Amino acid sequence: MSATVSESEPLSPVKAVEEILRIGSLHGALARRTAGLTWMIWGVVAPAIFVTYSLAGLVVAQDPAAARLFPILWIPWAGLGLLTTASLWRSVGLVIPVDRTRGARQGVVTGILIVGFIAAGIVAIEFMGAPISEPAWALMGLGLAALAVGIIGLNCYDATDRRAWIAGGAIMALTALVGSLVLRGDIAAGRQWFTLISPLTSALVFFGGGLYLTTRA
Amino acid sequence: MDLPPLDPVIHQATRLRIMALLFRNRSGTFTWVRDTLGLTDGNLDAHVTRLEHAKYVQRGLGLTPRKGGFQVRLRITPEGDRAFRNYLETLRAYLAPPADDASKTSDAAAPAQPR
Repeated sequence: MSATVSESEPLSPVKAVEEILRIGSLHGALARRTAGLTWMIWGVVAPAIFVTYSLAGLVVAQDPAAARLFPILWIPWAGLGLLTTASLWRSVGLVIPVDRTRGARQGVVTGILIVGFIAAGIVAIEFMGAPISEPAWALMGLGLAALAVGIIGLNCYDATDRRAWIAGGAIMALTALVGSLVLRGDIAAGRQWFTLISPLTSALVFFGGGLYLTTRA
Repeated sequence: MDLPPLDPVIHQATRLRIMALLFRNRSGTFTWVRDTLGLTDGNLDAHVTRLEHAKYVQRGLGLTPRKGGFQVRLRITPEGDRAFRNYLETLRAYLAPPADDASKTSDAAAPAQPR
């Protein structure tokens, strides 16, 4: 497996730029569409988690012992999301080289950030009696985590993906903040309204963001 | 205007394609790079060897479970990443319109044959 290296092929700077652009476009569109589809998957998973907690609230009203399930109710949905995302990137990896170890590592860090932000806030609300309902904080925590992910540059395929994380995070955090301010710290009203607002906003941000990234590719 | 020379290791059609592909994807199997760029085994091997000598690319073995064996994996090194970024910067300088005559943009690149 050896050959002499041909250095004779002339290459002008313009031709060099054309070559670089051509290589860049080879698999870029597929990877961008996959990144968009990943967003759409989580645009179904995130609202599903919110709806599950709303339904669990109804169960807890009948049987307070069911509240023990609250810390783990998100896990099956997150597991499904992770499995679907991993399968999607694994399939794409058959055509283009995808660094799945790096992707998995960044995905885990993103998950820790999201769960960490939400859990820390819920615990703080319980202990300090802050005037914000749990579903409103969950939306705000999700937004702040998404903002952090975008700023750090985790899970970002390109600059547009990164901007989408930042914009999506800001939309979710601001919606939670404005909603809580409008309700003037009324926890009961917050629990009612954010049962609707949180799943709808998270679906709009993740599913809508994914749709935008996919159609743009 | 004195322009810095373009890195001769990268500024060759085939090596430029290899570097651009690895810069974007960070790594890929030898077979994938060969098929994507439409090269022969020998041609790719020769150019990769040149890039390896410059420490721009690293060759390693990657396990491919479903194919039941190892495959040669090519990976861009931090030095390669830096060199390619510098190359892009230099290219930009070659293609930038002269400061005193910005109107001749379209002709700026034509006479700028490096080396």
